[in-house]
Order: sequence, then structure tokens, then C-alpha cells
Amino acid sequence: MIWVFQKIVGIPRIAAIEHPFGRPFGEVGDSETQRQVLKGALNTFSTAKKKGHIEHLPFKWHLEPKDTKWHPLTPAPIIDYMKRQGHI
Amino acid sequence: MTKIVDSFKFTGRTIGKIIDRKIEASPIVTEIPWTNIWKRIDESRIALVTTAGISMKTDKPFDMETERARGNWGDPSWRMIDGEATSSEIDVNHLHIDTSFIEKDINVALPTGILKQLVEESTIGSFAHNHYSIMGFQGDNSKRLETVSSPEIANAMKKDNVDLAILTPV
Repeated sequence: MIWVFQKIVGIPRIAAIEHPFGRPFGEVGDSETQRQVLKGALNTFSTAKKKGHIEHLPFKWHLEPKDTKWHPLTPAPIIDYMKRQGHI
Repeated sequence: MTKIVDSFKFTGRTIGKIIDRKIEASPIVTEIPWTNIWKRIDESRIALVTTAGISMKTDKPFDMETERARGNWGDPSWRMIDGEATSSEIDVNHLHIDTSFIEKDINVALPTGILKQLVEESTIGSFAHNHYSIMGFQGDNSKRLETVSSPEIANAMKKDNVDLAILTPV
């Protein structure tokens, strides 16, 4: 998840995680990782002592980015919009 | 050595550039809200707020047609999700991610089942009667989400005696 964005929009406590879009808590059916991630997020309430605290959770996704599917089948409409605007 | 999360590990080049541009264009919020924790976690009532565009099957889904037509617009409304909702009871409408994973297992984005386990083992006090869902993509105008939907969600949480809320971006 994009903690570098979350930190500029005023989130009081951030639990950063290196998981792909759409599955922040873990893989389908992997209740143990989901549980550990949620407990990590809950723990941030205790460890954060000042505004904007960022806790980097230690989890590693089980696949490399090139093998990780998260995109929608059809690109999001903003992609086409930005192309039309000449932004990408 | 402490791990530093790489925000761009899964973005790819194009999405990474879009996010970079968004960050550059966004004002930095310096007035960060803060409330001290006044209760132990194992005595607290927890609510979740997801940006995944989840709705109960009995409710109106998020508006994808307008986003498809306009491109730079996201539905600013919100939905209440039953505190014990399961994958078979929800719809997921989000044009920026593969929603099939959430449809198979709600816990990947809105861990209602895991919260239930944490109550049973006394890690948390209780989970909220309802959780909440918004559409994470708002284009370049998040005013309605900020000024209408967010206060309504906060008021609903107050009525439900929620102590702590976890926002789960997707």
C-alpha cells in the first residue's frame, strides 16, 4: 500500500504493508497472515505516540511483483482519461 | 534491520507515475487529527472502513457507470456493511483492482471473520455492529466524501459506541 501518499494526507497512525492492491491483509484463504496483519495494525494504536506515526509491518508477499495479479481485466477509466489529456 | 515498506513494489511503471504525480499535486496536510487511546485494545470496540467499494447485496452498489463515462470521477457515497458480513453477502465494485479476490474472501480487504476470532480470543473487546465502505478512487474532487460521507460515517460509529476505527485502503 502507498504509505508515502497516506503520510501527506493527514492519517494519524499508519501501518504500512508491502502487499499488492486489493489484498492488504493477505492472500485468499490465508487466515493466519490476515490475522497477523490485523494484529499488526491494531498494535499500531499502542506503539504510535505522535501524529503521523508510520509502523512498517514486516510481512513479505509470497510472490514476486511480476507473478502477482492485481490489475482489473479492463484498465481503469482514469488511464484512458489521462491518455486523452496527454498526461501519460 | 527494520523493514521499510516499498510503496511502489507492485504498482508497475504507469501506475507508479500516476501516483507520483498525485503526490506531487497534493497539498501536504499539516494539521493531522489525533485522539489519544483511552482504552486498552482488549476492551475496545473496533470498526473497519474499507476503500474497496464493497456493498451488501441487499444494498445499492457503487456507481461504476458514471466513472466509466467520466473517467476522472469516483462515487462519493458510502455503504454500511454488516459487522458479520461474509463473502457471499457482498458485492464489490471497484474499477482499479481485480475484485475477484475480495469476492472469494472478504478478509483480504475487510477482515470481518478475523475480527470475530480476535473477540473470541479476547485480543479486542468487540467488533462494531457495522463496518463501512467507500470508493477509494475519487478523481480530482474528494469534497463530498470529506464533507458529507465522512461525517456521516463518524456519526454512525459514535452511535455504535466504536472506540477505534481502522481504515483499510486497497
